[in-house]
Amino acid sequence: MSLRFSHDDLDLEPKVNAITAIIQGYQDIKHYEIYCSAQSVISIELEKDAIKTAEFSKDIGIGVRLANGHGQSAFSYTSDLSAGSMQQMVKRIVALVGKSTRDKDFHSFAEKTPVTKLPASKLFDKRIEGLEIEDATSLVFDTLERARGVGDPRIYSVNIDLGAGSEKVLVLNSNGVDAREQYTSIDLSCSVTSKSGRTMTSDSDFQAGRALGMVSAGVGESAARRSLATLGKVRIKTGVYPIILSPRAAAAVIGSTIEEAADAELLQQQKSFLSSEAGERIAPEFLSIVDNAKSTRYSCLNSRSFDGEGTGSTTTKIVDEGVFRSGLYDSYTAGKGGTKNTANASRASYRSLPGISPSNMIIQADKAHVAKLDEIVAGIKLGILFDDTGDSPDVASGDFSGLISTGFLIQAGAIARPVSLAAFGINFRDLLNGIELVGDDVKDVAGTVCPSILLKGVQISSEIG
Amino acid sequence: MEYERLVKKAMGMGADFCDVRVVTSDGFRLNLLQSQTRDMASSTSSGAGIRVLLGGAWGFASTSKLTDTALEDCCTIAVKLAKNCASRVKQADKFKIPDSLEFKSGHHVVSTRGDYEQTPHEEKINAILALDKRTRASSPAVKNCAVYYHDNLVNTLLVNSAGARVEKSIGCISGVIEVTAIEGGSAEEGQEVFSHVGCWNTIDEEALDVLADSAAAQAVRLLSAKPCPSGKFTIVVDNKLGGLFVHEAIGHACEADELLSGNSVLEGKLGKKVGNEVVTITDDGSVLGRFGYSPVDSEGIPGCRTVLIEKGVVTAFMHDLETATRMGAEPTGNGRAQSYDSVPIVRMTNTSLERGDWTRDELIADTRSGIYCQNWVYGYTEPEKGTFLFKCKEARIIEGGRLTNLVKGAALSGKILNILASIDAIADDFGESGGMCGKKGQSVGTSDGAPHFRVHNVVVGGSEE
Repeated sequence: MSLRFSHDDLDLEPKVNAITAIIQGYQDIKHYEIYCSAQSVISIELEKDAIKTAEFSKDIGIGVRLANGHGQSAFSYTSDLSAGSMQQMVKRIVALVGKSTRDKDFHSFAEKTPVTKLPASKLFDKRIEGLEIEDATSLVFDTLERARGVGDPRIYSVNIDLGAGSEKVLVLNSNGVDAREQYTSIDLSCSVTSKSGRTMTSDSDFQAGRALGMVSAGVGESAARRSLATLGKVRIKTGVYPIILSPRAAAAVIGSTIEEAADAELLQQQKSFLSSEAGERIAPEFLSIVDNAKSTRYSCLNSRSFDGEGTGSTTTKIVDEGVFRSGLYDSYTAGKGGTKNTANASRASYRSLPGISPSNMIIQADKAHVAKLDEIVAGIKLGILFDDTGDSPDVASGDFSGLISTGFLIQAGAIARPVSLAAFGINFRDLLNGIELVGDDVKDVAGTVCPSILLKGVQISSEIG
Repeated sequence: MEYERLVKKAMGMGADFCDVRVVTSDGFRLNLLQSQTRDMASSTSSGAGIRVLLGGAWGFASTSKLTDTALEDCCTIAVKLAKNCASRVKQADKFKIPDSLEFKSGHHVVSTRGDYEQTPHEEKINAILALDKRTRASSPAVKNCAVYYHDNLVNTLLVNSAGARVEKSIGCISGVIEVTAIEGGSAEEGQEVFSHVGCWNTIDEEALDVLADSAAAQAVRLLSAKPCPSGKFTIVVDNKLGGLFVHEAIGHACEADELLSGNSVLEGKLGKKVGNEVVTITDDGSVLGRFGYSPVDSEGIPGCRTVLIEKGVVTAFMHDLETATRMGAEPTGNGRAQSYDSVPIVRMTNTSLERGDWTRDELIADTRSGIYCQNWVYGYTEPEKGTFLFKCKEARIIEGGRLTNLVKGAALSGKILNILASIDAIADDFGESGGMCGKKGQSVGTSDGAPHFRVHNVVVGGSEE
């Protein structure tokens, strides 16, 4: 048993031809889009050092969007690829099309654009496709061994999740789009709980990518060391501190916020604090944020030759030298805004409609504002290394308050003890404008590529509990 | 296909226990954005998941194809996965579902196909368009309304190796109304969620109007709100935020799988006092009127009332078959799966803080200085660290026992055990709301409820000192 599909599973061409013929029988339908996906996934869960569950799933199906000449549109999908079921699906969508509102902003589904195929070797790894359950199980236990191998009795429990998948995607539409690609992916995460006396804490590490070599059992050791490092927390005083966002925190704080705030749907609905900032400076001149689906560096986790609507991948400067230049668009929002489609339509499977999301988001600074991380730390008398948060800002206002769930005190130019839970509060505009330097420690955090980032004073409230 | 045959096949291959879940569902969704119906979809789907327990390890395989061949393959894969894992299970972690456990076969029909099909989609679309119109007419400041609507009818058949055969058919409606108000360059959002067990033919449309009015009024009100001060405060919590608190801070820590994986701050606390004696918290899947209604869970165990904390003492945890067996407890009907392609895990149903004997007005009048916190934006806990954070939508300062200035952006954080001990007064009112709860990639309907209550020494991380 592996993630390989049989020839029958992947022979979707006859099904697509059959659906196209059915659609063309409806005169009122002017636009169509057919999205097929075949996905197989293996996952293994290890809980408190013990194997818990191994899962395998295979899901193949077709999703169809139809629209008439008034911009009325609807969607449905089926995993039953029999002729009768596909006929029923199309009939159901046609009935729904007539009940939707007329939409003058809808022009058509994605226009045909040049698709530059990325090297298959960056997107698809035969070793993942051929991964046997025994191999996957061994990787999980090797990871456990590495975590336990740290040899610290304070390590209380280790939980590990491994997921590996293979996917084939095909998109075609009435504008002549015909795009197809195969992907593999793998992710390995390890969470370690540590106990010292009455104190219990937990931290995790993860790796992900499109090639088997992107993950290794070493994540067990790094998770264990991270967890142990968060024992022995100290209270800090409420006040204003310089902050270093680690790459993980920078991805969570800056990457996630820009991802949401630059969504063209929110921009057009005036629900993003960036709605009124087009062409305006929102960050220091040395900072740029780019969305690059064509990246072949780092994990390539979100790299693709085309997006969820079949539009050829592009590179989009969201923030260019501190100025907000572009949101992230799909075919609808680009048509509505009369702007370029940035190929940011994304879909989880044939069951889902496209939504807008970034591909690989890259946060970078000019060379003059990159410093060695050690030097940045050395320059701080009293500050905080902010390593993780589960919070997100109010995207409409940009107000951002939450918890530093993992953080360390910086004292006299060195990273000291972990800090007890502390709350922060800042407006995201002030946060961006407060960036002073970035580190030389660029990391790929699940598709967001960023360095450590030094922020000047941020209000921190402590102590909790 | 006689699904019992698959169970027999798995048992013949060495399984200690096996269950097969076959799920068929019909669904309709609609996003209303800027007065346009967007992403309107009608779908039907079906599939089966086969779970095998063998030598203390679970194997699970699922398929969206309900052909005999696909199901037989699925069964073989599930057994193979379990066998592979079983070879790694330590003797101490091995367990078997006890033969003495009684499953109750039966039919649980809340909604029929007739109920679901009684209302044409057009009627729902018109009702949602009316909500949009209503909010826009409520104030010139209201610039945008978004309604995210989803309904479905799910039929589940469960057969297992203990001879149980359980069928259920339940309709559900859920959604969100988001209203954006803009004035003088600042934007604020008001939000209300709705949920209903049943089909549209039993929904209270007037209640939707009330929610739409409330979301609009909240958005407009927040335009004049000042940033919340930060520091330690006594807070009075309203029904909605209180429900979230009960769910996130206590409910998740009472899920037995979190205890088994070493990830709950309540480990070792059974029978021990963790909170003030005014605190009693329950979970009850048998309450029909609430969104977490689960007459029988995904493992065939009836939903029931479980007292988790009684007068401040931990009295029980929520269990699925595995955790109950391993912890020597009775299953509580909390083994729930999102769909056929997910394994049942311990999930909450309808979780509540029980009523006290104060009134809301008495709570406020009795508080010399503090913050009255209302509604929520989001919240989360880290059960292994015992910490939580809740973002509340709006708040009012309490001065001298009276509500004064409106503030926004309050982030409440703390340690679960400290907060439980700091709740000193609970009102005699009760409010609940339903929604979707996510855990381990699965989303199920739950309902959370609470009276107003008062807590001392809560850290509030607003954006103003």
